[in-house]
Order: sequence, then C-alpha cells, then structure tokens
Amino acid sequence: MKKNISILLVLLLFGVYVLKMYPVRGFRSPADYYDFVAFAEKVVLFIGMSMLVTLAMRSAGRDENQRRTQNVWLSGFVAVLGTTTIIILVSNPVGAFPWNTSNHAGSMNPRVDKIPLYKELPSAPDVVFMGTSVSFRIPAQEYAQQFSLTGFNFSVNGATPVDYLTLMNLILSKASPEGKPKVIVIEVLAPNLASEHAGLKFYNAYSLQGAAYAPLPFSLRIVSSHFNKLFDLTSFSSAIFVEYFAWNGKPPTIAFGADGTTLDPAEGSEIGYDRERFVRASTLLHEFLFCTELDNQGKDLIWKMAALSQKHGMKLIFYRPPINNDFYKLSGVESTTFKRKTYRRCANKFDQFMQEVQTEFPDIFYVNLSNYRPIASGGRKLYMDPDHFTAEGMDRLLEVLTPILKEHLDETNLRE
Amino acid sequence: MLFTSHAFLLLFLPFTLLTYYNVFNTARGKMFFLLVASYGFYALAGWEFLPVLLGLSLITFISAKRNWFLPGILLNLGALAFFKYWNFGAENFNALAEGLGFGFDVDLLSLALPLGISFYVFKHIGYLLDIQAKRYPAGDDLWTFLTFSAYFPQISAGPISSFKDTATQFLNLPQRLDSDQVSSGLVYLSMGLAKKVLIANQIGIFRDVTMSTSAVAGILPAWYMVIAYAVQLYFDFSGYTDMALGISALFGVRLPPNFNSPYLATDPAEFWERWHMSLSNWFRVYLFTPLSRSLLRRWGPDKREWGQYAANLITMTLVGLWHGAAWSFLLWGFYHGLLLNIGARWKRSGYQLPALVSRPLFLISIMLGWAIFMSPDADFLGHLFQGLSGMSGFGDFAMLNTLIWSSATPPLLAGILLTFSGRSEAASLLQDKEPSSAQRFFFWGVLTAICILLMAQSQNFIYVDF
Repeated sequence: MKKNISILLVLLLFGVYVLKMYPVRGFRSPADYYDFVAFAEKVVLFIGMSMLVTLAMRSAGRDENQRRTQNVWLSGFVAVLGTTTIIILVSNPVGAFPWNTSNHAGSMNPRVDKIPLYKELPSAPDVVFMGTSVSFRIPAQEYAQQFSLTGFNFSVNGATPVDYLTLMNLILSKASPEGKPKVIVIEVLAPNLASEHAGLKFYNAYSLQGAAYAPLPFSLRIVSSHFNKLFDLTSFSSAIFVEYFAWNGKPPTIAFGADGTTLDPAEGSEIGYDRERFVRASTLLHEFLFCTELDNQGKDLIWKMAALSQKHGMKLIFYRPPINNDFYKLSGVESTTFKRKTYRRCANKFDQFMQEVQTEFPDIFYVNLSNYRPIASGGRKLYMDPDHFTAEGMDRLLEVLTPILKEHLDETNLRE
Repeated sequence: MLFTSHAFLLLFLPFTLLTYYNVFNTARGKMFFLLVASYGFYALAGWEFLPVLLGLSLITFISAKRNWFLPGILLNLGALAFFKYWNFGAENFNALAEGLGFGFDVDLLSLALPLGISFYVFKHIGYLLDIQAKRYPAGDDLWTFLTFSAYFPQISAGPISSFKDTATQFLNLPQRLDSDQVSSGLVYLSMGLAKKVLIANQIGIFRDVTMSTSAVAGILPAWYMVIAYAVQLYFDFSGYTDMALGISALFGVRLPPNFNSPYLATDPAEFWERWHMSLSNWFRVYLFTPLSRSLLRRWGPDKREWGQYAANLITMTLVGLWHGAAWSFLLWGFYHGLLLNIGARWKRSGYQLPALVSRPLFLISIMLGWAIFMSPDADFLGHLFQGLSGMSGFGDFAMLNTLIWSSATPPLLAGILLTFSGRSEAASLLQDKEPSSAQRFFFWGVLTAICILLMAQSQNFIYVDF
C-alpha cells in the first residue's frame, strides 16, 4: 500500500511538472519548433522516470523461461525504437538522406538546404557571408550590389570552425560554380572555441553527400552523427513536428532565397525577448565563462582556413557580433560576470589567437564587435534575443561592416 | 566509447554478443574473442593509450611470474602517478618553490588520462600483492591475464575485481546463458541505463548550467545543490556499475557489486561497506589492514586505537587522492578518515543516539563531505559552506523558484524515493522472491529504448574521469 501511494504521489508530481512545461500559447507555428522539441523531451523523460520508479518499486524477480525473458524484453525494445526509427527514416526531417518522401519542401537544416542553392549559382559569388543563425538575415545579394558585386549568404545555425572549413572546401570544389569569392565575411561565435571540442560541435549535420566536403575526421563524425540521429528523440520530435505542420500546409523550414538569405521576416522584438530565452542563451555564453583554454582543434581548423584562403587568393574577414547588453540584466547574469578573470582570460585568448592569425596571414582581418556599444545597447529595437538581430539591428551591423569590407575589397581590386 | 552511446549499445554490444555465442563454441575461443573485443573497445576510446595498457599488463604478468613484486608495483604506480598526478605535483611544487624564493620551475605537461588507468593499475597491484601473499599462484596463461586486465565491461570505471574471482570464470565461459543470467543481465543493463540517463544526466545537465557561487547563496539553494550532487553522483556511478554488471552477465561473467544502497547506512564504517565497495575493499585489504598491523607492531597494543585512527586517516586520504589530483579530493578523503574515527570512537563509548537523531546527523555528515568533493576551488567551497550553514541567509526567492521548477527536481525526487526505499540497486530488485511476469520484462525493454532515445544529451560517467 505504502509503495503504491508513494508511486502515485511521484507520478502526480511528474504530471504537474509536465503540465507546467507546456507553453502557454501552445504550438501554432513553425517557429514553435524548439519549444515543441523541448516539451516532447520533457514528456518522454517523465514517462521514463515514471516507468523506472514503478518498475523499481515493484518486484523485478526472475522469469523461469529464459527464451521468453529475452524475447519479451526485445519486443518491448524493438516496439519503441523500431517505430521511432522508421518514422525518422521516412520523414527525413534534417535531410540527412538523399530522399524526400515527406510532403514538405526543404529540410529543417540550412546545411542541407543551402548547398544546392549555392551550386545553382551561375558563377562563384564575389562576397560570401558565413556565420551562425545571427547572420541568417544578411541580405547577401542586395548588400553586395552596392559594391557592384554578387553575394551569397552561407550562414548555418550554430556554425563552428568545422562548418567554415567544410563550406570553404565546397566553395573551392569542382562541383561548385566556377571562380572563387573575393572575400568571405565570417561571423564568429566565440564560445565555439571555448571548451574542449566546442569547435567541433554542429547542431544539424550535413547530409551524407555534404559530408564529403568536411575535413576527414569530421566527415566520419557526420556519418556517425546520422546513425545516432536515427535513434534520437530530437529527430523523432522533429519528424512529428515536420509532418504535423506539413499537413497544415506550412513547411516548418526556414525558407531561403536564391542568395541564401532567409526569407522569413524578422519576427519582431516580442518573440524570444524573455528571461527564459535569455537564460537558455546564457548557457552558451557561459561556456566562455568557465573556459580555461581555447579548443585546439577549433584553432587548428581556423588556421587551415586561413592558409587555404591565402593559397587561393581570397580574403577572410572575421568578426564577433555585438551581444545584447540586456542579456546581462534579463538572464540574471551579473554584469560583473563578464568582467571575471576566467571570462576575460578566454575572451582575451580568443582575441590573441585571432591576432596571431592576422599577423601570419596578411589577407585575414579580425574585428571584435562583441561590446560595440552603439549596437549592443540597442535593446528590443535592435535585438530579438541575446544575439539575434531585428531587421533594424542587422542594418546597423552592416553599416559597421561596410567600411571594413570596402577597404578590403578595394585592396583586392587594386591587386587585380 | 561510452556505455551510453548509440555505437556501443546498438552496434558494439549486439555484434559482440552475437559473435560470442554463435561463432565461438569453446571457452578458450570465447575468451580470446573477449580479449580482442576488449582491446577493440579500448582502441575506440583512445588508441594512443593502448600501448600503456598492454605494456603495464605485460609488466605485471612477468613481474608476478618472476616474483619481481616491488618493481611491478612501482612501475604500475609510476605510470598512474605520471599520467594522473604530474601536473598536480608540479603546480604545487612550483607554488612552494616560488613561496620559498626559488626560481626553479617544473614544466606542466599536456597529458590526457588514459581510460581506466586508475582501475586497471589497481587490479594489477592487487594481483601482484595476492601472489606475493600466496593467496593463489601466479597465472600461467598470458592471454587470460591480458583479458582480465583489459576486460571491457569493467575497464572504464570498475568494479575492481581480483584475478582469482574474474579470470577463473574466463576458463569456464558458458556455451549458453541460463535464465538467471539472462534476466539479471537485462535488468542490470536496463536499470543501470535508466539510472544514468533519466536521473544522473538530468541532474547533471542542470547542475552544469547552474553551478556558481550565487546558486549556493542561501541555506535552501546550497542544500539543494549538495543533495542534487549526492544523488547525481550515486546514480551516475551505480548506474554505470549496474550496466557493467549487466553487460558482463550477458557474457556469462559475474563481476562483484559496487554499491549496496549506501545512503541507508547508519554510520561511516557501514557507508564504506556500501559505497564503491570494490575500491574500499581494495584499500582495506591492501593498505588499511597491513598498515594497521604494522602500526600495531610499531606502537604496541596500548596504542592500538591510535594505530587504527592513523591507518584510517592515511587510507582515506589516499582514497581521496585516488579520485583525482586536487586538494578537494584529498580533503574529502581526510574528512572521511575523521568520520570513520569519530564513528569508531563513538561505538567504543557505547553511547547510542536515537535513530531519529543519528540517521539525519550521519546523512548530513555525508552531504558535507560531498560539498567538499564537488567544490572546484576554495572560493566556491567557502561560499558553499556559508550557504549550508545559513550564514548567507535563506536564499533568493527567484533562485529557489528556479530550483524547485527546474528540470533537476523530478529526477531528484525520483532518486530520493528509490534511494530511501532501498530499490535503487538492480541487485535488490533481483533478490525479490516472487517471479516476475513477462509483462515487466516488456516494460524494461521499453524503458531501455526510451533511454536510448534520450541519450543524445549523455554526459560522460563521472567516475570514468577518475
């Protein structure tokens, strides 16, 4: 009796937690993808914990029939894992596999969607923008036209040095349009070099075809990552979400124009400008806080990029985008936190490393705009959250980058 | 390769099991296959350290055969000291030298810790000491010893077993498993994975993000964080051990248990009979007992009690040091030595506190030990103790609200319920006399699949880093 009561109490508590996690506005649009995935994870987690508590509190014992034990256990195992895997394979939500049986265009993965867009260009663009989702809204072609040049936005969510080098290999490959970019402008997410292997993380892997452009050990990791994703709850949740919104006629993908720029309008300052998002984002910036050394493999990749660009006569402009000053207030992170020794140590090391790259490779330029006050203090007007810009914020950033780009383009033109 | 990785659970383990039972029909053949699988497992985790494992195994085997006990032990300890303690020693030496005005500076090295070195070195030393003490003769077969040394279910983080217990099983590996072994293997594996993924990981992810001096400012947040760590550490390590035992059981090899509901202990001595049992047993057999006998001889029977106290302090300080190269671990070990001595003194006094008082007091003392263990530096430890003692107040309401509604609270509650109901060990579940229904095994399979789906967030097992 006591056991049953305690089990019931615990399940009740779990139920309360799950209900509390349900977002107030529900899941109404593709933009709710991350909330859906997070909620699905909580639900499955709580189901799992409830099962564990129930199974553990009741007897486990032994089954006299060995074959039956094995088969029954396997049937439970395969029932769940088999079902989820089949759904993931059929839906192919992140475009890992070269098929699309689902009734939606595109994948949820810019690394998959942008590569065909780039390959369809008539010739190599003069200016290529790389970076994270912060750079999604850079209107590459429209912006490059002011210099009478062509542009492409090759930013991918959560970009790391692995991405930069992979995309450079792609740009320089025979499968890509003829010619080479004059300048590659790279928005650098500093925390991606702040912890061991941080420089190797990628949130959605390239497709199996795209893996060919990644440097060798990472191409194998892409393949193994796709294997893991076949048995992963996030993939399963993505598949469900994708199919649900596909039924509703709205593809839950980010739409990109022919120049790789996102076509989705800036969502405005209301969505994402809340403490929860800031706290979530602060975990990423916190990596920098506790870092003691920069990630050597990430540094090595950036060095290789620099060498490759020099070999092919391309300029690289690295920049750290301004971080929203409101981050300090809304996330609960004390403003002194970023003045702490450990943070400054890694921030300084990052700057030092990039200075070394600049010194070694004359065609590389680095500028740290992370505390650029005219933009960083812009609040809701210029930011949607800790680091993603509104349309106006993006315009202001581009205004700052324009003279830098112009200077390096002028040098390039003079050389030609 | 982690136990909680897709590659291990969905590729390596099924492949090795299928090959083990369908290709190799003799015990010897199976043992060789286990040896190859173990080295393959180790190579996938870090091939560059394979020569260290192989080298130390060969040195140990040869040393045992030739009665070169001291050189064998010293070489094993030397390797462990080099990889694990070089930088700690160098940093402290440099600080001391600087303090004394010497300009001498020892270089720090960029050294990674070979997987499982803390565990297999202790297996080797245990083997040499057992041979020296004539508990059993040195093994004749190199391959059996190599398999014992590298045996993959236990190489990452134990349990530390003796050659006699484990290697003799390699000579009698079963053709097929009996029903006991299958059910226990599956329950251990499922339970271990669930403990790691559903409880330990969830608390760990939250703690990694939240841990800071401000998070422990206040008595309630401080105790929350310490209790969360205590539950995380227990479920992480006992989850790993359950998986190790389960995986090994599926190959027909029984490994010794490592945990027996340690938070149900009523005094420090009993705690160490229930926590990381294989390690505490190792230290008891190979250090504490010989040391206390030696002190007894040296100091005489009049000082027997003091000899025991000294042996406790030395042994437990070294237990702390074994966990890692940091002053916090040393201090934690010393603290537990003190607790053992206080416990022993208390027992001798004959005075008994009511259980309602003694149990909470004992648990608080264990939690204070974990507070030391989890602190990355003295500054954090200072803040934490201020919080725990109430010197920094009750706690910020916003922080309390965050903690209560955090993703760590449900697994914490589940962990506490399982712990204090004595149902947190797979072994305790398997001791139930009533037979299980087939339905329950179905749900164990479902639970295992759910854990695999949630494994993407998997963190490394805490004790693998030791």
